[in-house]
Amino acid sequence: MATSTYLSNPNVLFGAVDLSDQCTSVQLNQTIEALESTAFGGTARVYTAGLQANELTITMFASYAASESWITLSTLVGTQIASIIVSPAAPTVPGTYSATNPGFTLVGGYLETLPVMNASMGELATMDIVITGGVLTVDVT
Amino acid sequence: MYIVNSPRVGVVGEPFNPDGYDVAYLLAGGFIVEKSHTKPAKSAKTEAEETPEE
Repeated sequence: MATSTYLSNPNVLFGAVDLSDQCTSVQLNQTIEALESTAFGGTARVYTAGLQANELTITMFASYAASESWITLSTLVGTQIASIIVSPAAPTVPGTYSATNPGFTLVGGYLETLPVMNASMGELATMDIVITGGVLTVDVT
Repeated sequence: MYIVNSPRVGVVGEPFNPDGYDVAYLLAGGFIVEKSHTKPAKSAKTEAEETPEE
């Protein structure tokens, strides 16, 4: 029987800092570059795994209050972020993930751009950030 | 010893285990604070305190 999961409450941790209540969208793409290994005699193109090229995109509200989104991210621009963990739901016990609630951990992802102002009349300000690179592991223990 | 200073990293006022985290970043952002182990120094006695008033 087909099942579907509606992810309404993912958890987003920048190291120890939980910014979930500011996030409205998160997408983590696990990518491993394809290196062509087709050789003479082959009848179709074939590929082998290359380097990881992961990408994490997060949309969050732009809040300038203490401990909120802007101040949390402002010192991370232009750096490799030590760790970001996204999971389908907040773990019952902090830091404890499972096969049904895996913790996708991106270590060393690079934050190149932080939109410091994105304001429009009649709308809540948001910021879209893209974290590229880094090593992706999955914590299911 | 570090203490949680923001609900984004835990329960405010409870001890924070820094293992595996960027402590400098958390301190700079005010998410945690460092609590000294040392007891506050006693104030020095002054001569006036030692000499009872007549």
